[in-house]
Amino acid sequence: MRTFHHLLISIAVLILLAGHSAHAGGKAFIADETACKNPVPAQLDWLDAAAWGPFSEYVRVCSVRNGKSPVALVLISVWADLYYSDKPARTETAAMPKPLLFTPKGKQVGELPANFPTDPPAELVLHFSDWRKGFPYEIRLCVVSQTASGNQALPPLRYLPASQRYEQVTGAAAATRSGDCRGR
Amino acid sequence: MADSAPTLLKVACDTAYDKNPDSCSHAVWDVVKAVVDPKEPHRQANGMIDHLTANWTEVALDKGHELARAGTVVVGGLKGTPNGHVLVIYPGDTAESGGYDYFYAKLKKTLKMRSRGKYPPCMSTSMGSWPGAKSKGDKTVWDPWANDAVFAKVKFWAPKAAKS
Repeated sequence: MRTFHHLLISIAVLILLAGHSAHAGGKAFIADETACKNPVPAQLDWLDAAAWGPFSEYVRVCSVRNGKSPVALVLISVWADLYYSDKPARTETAAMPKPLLFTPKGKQVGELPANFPTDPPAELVLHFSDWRKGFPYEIRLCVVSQTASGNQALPPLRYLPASQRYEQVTGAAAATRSGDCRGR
Repeated sequence: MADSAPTLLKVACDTAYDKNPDSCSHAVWDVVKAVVDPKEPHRQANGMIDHLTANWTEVALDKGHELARAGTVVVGGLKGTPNGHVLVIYPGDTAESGGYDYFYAKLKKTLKMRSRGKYPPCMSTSMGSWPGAKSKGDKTVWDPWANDAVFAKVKFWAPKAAKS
């Protein structure tokens, strides 16, 4: 009986450790052709035309989901690399609207503090974590850059059910983790 | 006498920039030795930031700029892995950030950094090639990091005697 209890405790510890490692060092969100597409007209209607209009050709919509579960979030941003690829050398970098987070039905639930996937010369690495019932309650961020900063983790965004929005965490909870800049 | 402190700081920054083109910590160290304490030991950027956090007074950027214009050494910095970065606020008026060309390796293309607003000028050197991190008062405290979200993490410190 005692051995059986030890076995149960060992299994519980392994499950906890597995869950912890998934949060701390999981794969970063990959903005590829599988997850990210051209917007459909209805999605463009969610955006402020004055801010996004000049970049409409370069707007992409990424679907965020946990594995094969239904889409939890829609991330809309201007893909700066596509924009600058079409521009001549020595083009001045443009002020692009910040990436926005929506529910699949179009309710805005937050924005990212830096452009995604890139804000040349920086790249923004995202980890969607703390999944509950198919919805990520935490977004961890890292700016990867060739500037003097190197890789810099940013305070994470937390989903607040009361406001139904992601807000940047402040205080002690804003601590970054070593894995925020990994997993790409 | 009132003009001598800013002039001393400016000369110290210019000298440190010329002497240490590839090491931000050595450049800042030279300014600290010249203006604050000639016996100050050298610390790498991350260690220097720990030392400043423990022994200097953290100041807001506006206050730091005011102090620098009066000739006080104000160090800005952000820890990083493996190396952080440190700089000194250069005595002078605020100026537009950006305005320089940089090579964006991912697209193999040169782009021009746009201004993100006016900031105090800085003395900054770097072992890296980022042009925004090399400044003899001709770039701003924003430019070494060149990202608003990252710059929000940068802190500034002044010697304790200069806090009021």
